[in-house]
Amino acid sequence: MGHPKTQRDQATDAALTAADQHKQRWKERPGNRYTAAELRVMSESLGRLRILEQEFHVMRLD
Amino acid sequence: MTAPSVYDWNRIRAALRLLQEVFPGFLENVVLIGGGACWFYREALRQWKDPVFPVPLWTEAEEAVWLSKDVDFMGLDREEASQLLDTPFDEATHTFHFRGLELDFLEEGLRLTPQNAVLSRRAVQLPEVVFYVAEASLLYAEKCVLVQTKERPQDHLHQRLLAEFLKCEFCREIENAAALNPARWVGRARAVKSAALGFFGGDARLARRLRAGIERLTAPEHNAIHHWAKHHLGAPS
Repeated sequence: MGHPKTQRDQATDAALTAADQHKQRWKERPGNRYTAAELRVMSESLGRLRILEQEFHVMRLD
Repeated sequence: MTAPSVYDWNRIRAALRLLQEVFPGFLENVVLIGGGACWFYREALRQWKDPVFPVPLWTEAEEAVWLSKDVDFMGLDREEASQLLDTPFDEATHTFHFRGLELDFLEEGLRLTPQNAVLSRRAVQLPEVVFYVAEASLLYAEKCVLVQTKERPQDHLHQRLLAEFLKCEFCREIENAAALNPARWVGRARAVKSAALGFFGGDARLARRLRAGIERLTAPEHNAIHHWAKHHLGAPS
């Protein structure tokens, strides 16, 4: 069973929804998204890409 | 307001370098999220050239909505970002304008929080700059909720890409026992299955390749993976 939403939760949700809609409208304006050709150029010029995970730090107790 | 016509990825890379130079430590304290983060996972998958899990073939219409020209980070709130960048948040564009970049700082997502994004981040190494990107399984969980709750075409594409990336990575890690971290592998598998219950059972390519790879793992430290496979991968059909 979920907890009842507080007024603050609802206000936060409403603000996030409004911000998201605003931002999506911006994305949809002409020129604000990459074209397929631009994506190809970006990809070709990227160079070697490595995505690395963080190493765990071992806490030593001795 | 549209982004400058000369705005290209090399310029974004130059700007990331600039951010690092102008604000030392900045890139260490923020995590790239959103479509930009997904794009890096897309490129990593492309560079792997995996025969089973290639980058999906996107249509022209899909490519046209794949990536927008704003760059989303998590790790600073807007007030902090405004002070640091010395520029106000532009409500019209919903971004900060900084030397050709359109930057936004998301304070909360549906699954993403600044805490879990920063704690689980991965480092992206390019020839000239290192920065951090949100963990793929966390982004995938976010996209799985977004496609259920919002009508945004890019989310479906990003979800699909992240699913292929994660499937490929799960297999590649299993197939490289020397570098495999069993606890991390199982933890990520659990996180992904929580986000999408049918992730492992719904793709025969994935199940077949994982089973074959897991069968070859014989060291005691791999027991957790065998145990996971018994419960989550099922028997071969």
